[in-house]
Amino acid sequence: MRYVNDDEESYWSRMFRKRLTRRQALRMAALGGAGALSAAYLACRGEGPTATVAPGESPAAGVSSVLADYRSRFHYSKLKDLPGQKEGPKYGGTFRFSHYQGFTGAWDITGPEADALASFAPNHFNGLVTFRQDDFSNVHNLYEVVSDLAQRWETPDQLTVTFRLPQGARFHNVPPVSGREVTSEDVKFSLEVYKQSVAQGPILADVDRIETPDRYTVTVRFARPAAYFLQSLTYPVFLVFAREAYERKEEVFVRQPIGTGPFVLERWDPPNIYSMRKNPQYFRKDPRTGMQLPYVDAIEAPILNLNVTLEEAAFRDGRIHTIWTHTRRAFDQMLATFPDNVGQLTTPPPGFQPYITVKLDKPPLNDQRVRAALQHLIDIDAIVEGILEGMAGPGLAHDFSFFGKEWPWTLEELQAMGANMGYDPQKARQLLSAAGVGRLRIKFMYGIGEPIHAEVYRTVANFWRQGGIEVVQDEVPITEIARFNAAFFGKQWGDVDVMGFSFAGPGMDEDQYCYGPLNSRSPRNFYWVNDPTLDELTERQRRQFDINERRRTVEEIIKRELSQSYRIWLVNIYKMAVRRGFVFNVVDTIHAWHNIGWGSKGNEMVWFSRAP
Amino acid sequence: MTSYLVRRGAASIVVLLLVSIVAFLLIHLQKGDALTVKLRQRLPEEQVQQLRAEMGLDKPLWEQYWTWLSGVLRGDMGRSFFREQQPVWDRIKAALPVTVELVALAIVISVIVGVPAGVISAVRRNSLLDQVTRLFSVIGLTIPVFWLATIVLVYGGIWFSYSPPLTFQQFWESPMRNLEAMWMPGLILGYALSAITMRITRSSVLEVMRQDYVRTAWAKGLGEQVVIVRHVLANSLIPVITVLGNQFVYIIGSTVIVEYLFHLPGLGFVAFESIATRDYFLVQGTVLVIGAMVVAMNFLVDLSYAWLDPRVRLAGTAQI
Repeated sequence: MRYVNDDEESYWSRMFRKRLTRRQALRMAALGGAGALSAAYLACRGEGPTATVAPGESPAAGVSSVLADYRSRFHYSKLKDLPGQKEGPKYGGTFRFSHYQGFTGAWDITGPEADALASFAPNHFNGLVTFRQDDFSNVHNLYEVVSDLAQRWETPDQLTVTFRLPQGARFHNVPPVSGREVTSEDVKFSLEVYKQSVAQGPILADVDRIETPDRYTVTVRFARPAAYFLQSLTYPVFLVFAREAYERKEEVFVRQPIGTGPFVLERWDPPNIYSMRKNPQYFRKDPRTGMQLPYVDAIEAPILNLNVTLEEAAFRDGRIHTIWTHTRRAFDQMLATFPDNVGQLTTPPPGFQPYITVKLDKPPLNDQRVRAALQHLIDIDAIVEGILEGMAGPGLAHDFSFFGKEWPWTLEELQAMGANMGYDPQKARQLLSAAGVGRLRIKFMYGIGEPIHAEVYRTVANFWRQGGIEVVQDEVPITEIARFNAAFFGKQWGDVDVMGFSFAGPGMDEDQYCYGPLNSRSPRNFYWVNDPTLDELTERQRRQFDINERRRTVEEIIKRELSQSYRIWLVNIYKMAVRRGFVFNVVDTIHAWHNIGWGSKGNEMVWFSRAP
Repeated sequence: MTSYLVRRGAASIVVLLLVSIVAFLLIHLQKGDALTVKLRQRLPEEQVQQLRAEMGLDKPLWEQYWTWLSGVLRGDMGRSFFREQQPVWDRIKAALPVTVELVALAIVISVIVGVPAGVISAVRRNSLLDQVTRLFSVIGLTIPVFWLATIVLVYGGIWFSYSPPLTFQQFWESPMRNLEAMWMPGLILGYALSAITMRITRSSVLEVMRQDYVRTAWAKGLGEQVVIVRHVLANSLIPVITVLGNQFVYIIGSTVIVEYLFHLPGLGFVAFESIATRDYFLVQGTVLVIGAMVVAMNFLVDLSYAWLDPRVRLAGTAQI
C-alpha cells in the first residue's frame, strides 16, 4: 500500500521535530483544562474579517458589499498573473486533493451510474470535445468548446457534425487494448452504446446515424437540428472507449477504466485512496503552451467523503493542495494557513443550489397564487446575510452564462423577468386570500446532508410559519438518502407537498436546465411541470442555432416559469476554493467538474512551480 | 461449567438471531432501497423492475431474510450491492481489526490511566490530588466523544499542526503508520472510558478500604504499598472489570463517530456507510458481527468473575 506522504517528511518526525516549548506546554495545558472555554469561544467568537470594497470599486447593484468585495478580490482573472506563472509550466510532482467515493466501484461509464462517474472517468478517458479550463480561461464562459480527442470539427449544416481525430492517439497500454490507436470506429461504437444508455441516451435522442468515412473521421447525422448537441457533448459522460474492452464487460470494462486519458488508474480503494500515474503515451498537448500533458507525475486523492473537519486539518497540514470551503470563515482560515495560498470565488452549477420543488398537481398548490404566496413569505436577503455570511445571491436554476452574464441574476433582475420574489408577507396574505386558502398546512421534506442547505430550508420553514402556515418538517439525514431519492427521483411523494432539493441537471448546456426539468416528456422532469407552453418553448430552443434567437426563447421560458412559480427559488451560494501557491491551473468553474468542484476535468493541466 | 457454557451459547445464538431480524426489519421498513441510492434518476418502470430483480429486491421480505440467513449458515454473508459485488465478509474482515484495535487501545489507555488515578484518588481522599483527579474524571464523563474529537481535529491543526493520516494501514502492514492513525482516536475514546474506570475504581477502593481485613492489615503494621496493592486493589477490581465489560458496548457505539471523523475504515465506518447506501447484506453482516462481539464480551466478563472471585461458581443455576 502506497502512502500519501511517502516522499514527504514522515508523520512522526513532523510531530517530534517540534520540541515542547514553555509556550506550547502552556497551550497544551490550556487546551486540556479548558475544553469548555473552547466551546464558548467557538460559540461566541466574532465574525471573520470585515469585508470592505476595494478603493475605486463599488458594490454591484443588488449585491451585498461583502460579496462584491470577495468577487473582486478572488476573481478568476487574477489567476493568470500569479507569481510563478510567467516562468511557465514545469513537470513532476504528485498532486493531492481530497476526493469522495461517489460511485460503487464499477467503472461502467455507460451504465446508470455514468453521472456519478463523470467525477472520476475524465482522468482516464477523453471525450470528443471539452471546455477550456486553465488559469487563463474565462471560467464563467460555458461556451468555449475546445478540442479533446477530436482535433477539430465542422458543422456543414444543422443536421451534421464531422469530427476529425488525430493520428497516434492511443488507449492505455493495458490489455485487452494494449496501447492500440483510437479510430473512428471506437467513437462510433461508444456513441452508439451511449445512445441506448440511461444517462447519456436522452442527449443523443436526435442523433439519426453515425458514419465513419475513414479511420480518423466521424460524422454524426441528426434527424432534427440539435443546437444543444456540441455543448452538451462536453459533459464528461461522453467518453470514448474501446469495443474489445466493452465486450468483456464484467471482467474488464467495469473492473478498470481503460481509455485514452492522461492518467492510468493505480488504485481505487475507498474509503482509503484513489491514485493514478501519468499515461506516458498521452496524446494531448497544452493548447496554450504546446507542452506535452500531463504535467504532474501522479495524483493521490485520499477519499475523505466530504469529511470537512478532516479535509481542513489536512489542508492546514499541507497534506492536500486544494480545498473547497463551505463558509466564508473557513475560506478566510484556509487562505491564512500558508502565505502564498490562492483563493478563488465562483458560483456553483445552475442546478446545484437549494430550492424547492412543489407538487404542482395537488390542491391548493396547483394554484399559482398559493405558490407565489409561499415565495413572497421568504426573505432571501435575510437568509443571505443571516446564514450565508453574505456569500450568496438569489437562486434560479438556469445558466446565467448562457446570456453572456458573468455573475448570477440579482433579485431586481429576476423581478424584472417576472419572478414573484421579494419578501412581502402582506402580498402573500392577499394572494392566499384571493385563492380562498384560509389555513394552509404543508409537509416539507428536505435533505440535511449538506448542512448549509439544511439551514436554509429550516429558515424557510420558519418564514412560512411566521406567515401563518402550518409546516410539518420532514428532515432527511444522509443515512436516509434512499428514502429521499425514492421520493424525488421515483416521484413517490406520499403526503409530501414541497421538497427541498439541491440538484438539477446536470449538464453543460442550458438545454439541461430548460428541456430537462420543464418539458413534460423529459426523463429529467422531476418537478411535476406539465405546461404545453413550456413544452413548445423548451422544444423550440433545442432547434435554434442562432444564439440570439435561442437566448430570446430561453428568456421566454424563464419568464414563463417564473410567472407560474413552478419552483420556489431561494439562494445561489457561492463556491470558495483555496489552493496552495505552488499549484497552477487548478481552477474552479461554474460547471464544477474540476477537482475543487466535484470532478476531475483538467487534472492533466495541473503543474507545480516547486516541490511541495 | 459445561452446562453453563451450553446454555449461554444457545442464548447467544437466539440473541444474535433476534438482533439480525430487528436490524433487517428496521432497514427494510424505511422507504427507498439500495437501487434508489444507486440510480439517482428516473428509469422506465420495466427497467427498474429488472434491476430490482437482479438485486433480489423484488422478493418478499421473509424470502430475502431467509436467503441471507441460509447463506450465513453456509458461511456466506452475501455480496455488497455496491463495491463491485465485493463479498460482505471480505469487507468486514478488513474492517474488524481496525475496530478491535481501536477498542483495545481505548481499554488499555483507560486501565493505565483510570485504575491508578482511581486508587490515588481514593487513598488520598479529599486532598487536592483527589479533587484534580475527580475534576479530570467529571470532564471525561461530560464531554461527548464526538465533540472532543472535533475539537482535537480543528484546534489540533491550528495550534499543534496535528492532523491524522489520510490513508490507513493495518498494524501488521506497518505498525508505525498504523499508530499514526490510531493513537489520537484511541486516546479520545480511552479518556472517555478512563473517566468511568477512575470513578468506579475510586468508589470500589474506598469500599474495600473499610473492610475488616484491610484494617487488620494496617494493624499488622504492613506498609501502605503492600496493603493497597495486595489487599485493596486485588479485591477492588471485580466491579471495575464488570464495568469495563459493559462499557465495551458504549465504546463500540462511539467508534462509529470516531472512525468517521478520523477516517478509520473500521466496522463503525462500514456500518455508517452501509446504512446510508441501504447495502442490506453489509448492514446485516456488520450488525451480526458487532452483536457477536458484544455477546462474546459479556460472556468473557461472566467467566472472569469466577476466575477473579472464587466465591462465584458457574455451574448450576443460581450463582450468576
